[in-house]
Amino acid sequence: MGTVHVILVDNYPSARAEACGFQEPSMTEDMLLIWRLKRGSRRALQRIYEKYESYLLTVAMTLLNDLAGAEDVVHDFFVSLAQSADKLSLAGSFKAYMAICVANRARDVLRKKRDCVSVGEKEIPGTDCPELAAINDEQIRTVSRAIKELPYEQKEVVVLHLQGEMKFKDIALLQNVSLNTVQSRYRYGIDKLRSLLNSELEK
Amino acid sequence: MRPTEDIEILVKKLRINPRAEMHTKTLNDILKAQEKSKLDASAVRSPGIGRIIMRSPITKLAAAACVFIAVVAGIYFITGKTPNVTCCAWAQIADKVSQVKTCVYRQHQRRSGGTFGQKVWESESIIYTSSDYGYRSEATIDGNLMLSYMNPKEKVVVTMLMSMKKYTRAMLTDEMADQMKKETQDPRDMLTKFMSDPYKELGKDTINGVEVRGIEVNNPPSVRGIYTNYIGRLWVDVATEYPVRTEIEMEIETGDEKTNWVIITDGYEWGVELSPDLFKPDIPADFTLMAEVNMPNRDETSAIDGLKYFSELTNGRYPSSMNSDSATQESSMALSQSYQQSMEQALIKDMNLAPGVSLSEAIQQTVAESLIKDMNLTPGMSLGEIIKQSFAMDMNLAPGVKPSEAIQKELLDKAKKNGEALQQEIISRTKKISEEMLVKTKKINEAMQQELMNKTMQLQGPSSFYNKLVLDGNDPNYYGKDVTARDPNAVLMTWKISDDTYRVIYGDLSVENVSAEQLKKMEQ
Repeated sequence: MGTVHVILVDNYPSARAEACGFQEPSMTEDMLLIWRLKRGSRRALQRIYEKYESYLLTVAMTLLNDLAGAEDVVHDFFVSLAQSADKLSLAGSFKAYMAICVANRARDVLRKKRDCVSVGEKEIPGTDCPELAAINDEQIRTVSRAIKELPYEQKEVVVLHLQGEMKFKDIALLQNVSLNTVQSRYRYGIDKLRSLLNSELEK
Repeated sequence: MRPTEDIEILVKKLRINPRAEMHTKTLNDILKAQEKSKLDASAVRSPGIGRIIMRSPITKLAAAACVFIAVVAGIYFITGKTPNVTCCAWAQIADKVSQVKTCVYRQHQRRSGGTFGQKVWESESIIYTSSDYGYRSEATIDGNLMLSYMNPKEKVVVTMLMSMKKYTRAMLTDEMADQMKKETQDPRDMLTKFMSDPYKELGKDTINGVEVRGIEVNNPPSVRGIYTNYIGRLWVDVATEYPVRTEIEMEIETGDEKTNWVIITDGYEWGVELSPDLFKPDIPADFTLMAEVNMPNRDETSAIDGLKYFSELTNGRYPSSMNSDSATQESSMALSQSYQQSMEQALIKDMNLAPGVSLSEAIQQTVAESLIKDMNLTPGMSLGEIIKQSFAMDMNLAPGVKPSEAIQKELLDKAKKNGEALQQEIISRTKKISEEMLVKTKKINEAMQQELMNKTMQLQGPSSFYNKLVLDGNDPNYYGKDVTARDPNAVLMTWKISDDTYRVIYGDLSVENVSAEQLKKMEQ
């Protein structure tokens, strides 16, 4: 009995809660983390970073297809969070809030990149970047390659909905388009992914 | 062709792990950024204008009081007689669970309808219990974070309301501390009670990939008079025989209204090692004590005392139900109305505003009086009359003179301009008074909080006693829905004190012992 080893970080329950094997990180834990972060807790900031770093890196990487760029986006987001934590005011999920921030930053990066790409290098579609090669599961690596082929708007909807767990209506607000448009983008995105994955299978 | 669900699952599974060097660099950078921003941070922030509104602090306080009481009243969550689990397999589970000294679990509550109207009230909590150290709850209630600690050895419940930077201390009676020690929010006790009620087997099912088997209780005797349409389900892991999930659906009757209440408890972890520090309240230095109160004794005197006070607040009514949740809601409503009136009167007196009127009327009158003085107008005019008078004065012409259209237009423009300036002046003076009021309100609020909490506790007396009677098997009955203080001889509450004797509280709150036969006649 009692096989789970509890990690208590400064009376922090979140590490514990994860150790308990909760399916979803609870809103309660995040609210407690935010509350402590707003009061300047170093441990809270560290915990948030460690808890969500990989998740946000995945969102950024999926949107940008560029590990260095994704790392920069995540780095800049966390620095900004650390600097302005006291002004943080959340109405909904912290996880979704962070995904939106990262998506906005990724979009800025792509905009700047597009301005430079006309005089710079061109991407070669379909090639694996080294970081994708680091994904062990072949099936997931294939999906990652396929997502890369989606138009940006579709990719953003698919990633924010599935990875960021955002509702379509919230994504519509973010993209400044109608709910129908977002749902269509999602449907087209998934259809295209299906078709790309099927053609991979046939190879 | 791949189904959509497969693709969605694969996308969800995508995870890029950070490179070690990048992880360390980013962590260092953000910790430095945090340190720098702490140094740069301005120490003081001015309060928002929205908070000037008088209702806001009262509402917040009343809500906080309710939340606090709801947690403390959580001890009555499920009551029941001494567990007597007879079924072999389930008896083993009850026995196994009762041996465990610690437990952590997650609880989601949702209330809707009835007194909540269109609103849906939700809370999510992580709860830690330990036989040695007590109880800790981390709850988000309607988006507000609240931490509660209960230490039975020190006989105290500490509740921290994070957004308000306040905390309360509730001192427990010896009897209550003993009982809380045994069963406060302790799922071990809750589960054994669950199994002690008549139940039916639900067979096997799967929850989150775990094979479980369950039982269901339907309106068990232990909740009679407290909850209606009560259905509880308990699911136990077939392999480990530890409970993995409980589901409770019930209704609370408040007067003619019914509130639906769903409580899902899962994420159980049994026998986990918990640090004693987890159960020590870590109150930040800038938190202030909102109130320190004594929990009411669970006896007849406290019950009558609470009923008397409730009836004074509500013009002779009594709580419609002895369900602690319903009684809390009704009491809070009555108390906050009375509190708001007292607050307004204290403020009007403190600021020398016009007495005998509502606060908004008093503000308007004060602004009107200051304008009458400055503009040399007739005393006693209202703000509306001042605006009209000012406009008429601007348009006033010598008798018999018919102005040209051009002059008429010029005068109208001037009057409009002056009218706008006057309106701005009114807004500015109202704002000034409101700002003064904010400062005064805070002071009065602080002074009244302690009293408010004491009164709230006093109002808990009846339901607290009633729940004890249920727990002790005294078969109580309560008729507050139909009986008021204007029915002195009507039976308000009864309970059994021996095989043939009942105790009765009447509508005028007098008390006597009657035989079972007499009671039967009275109730006819």
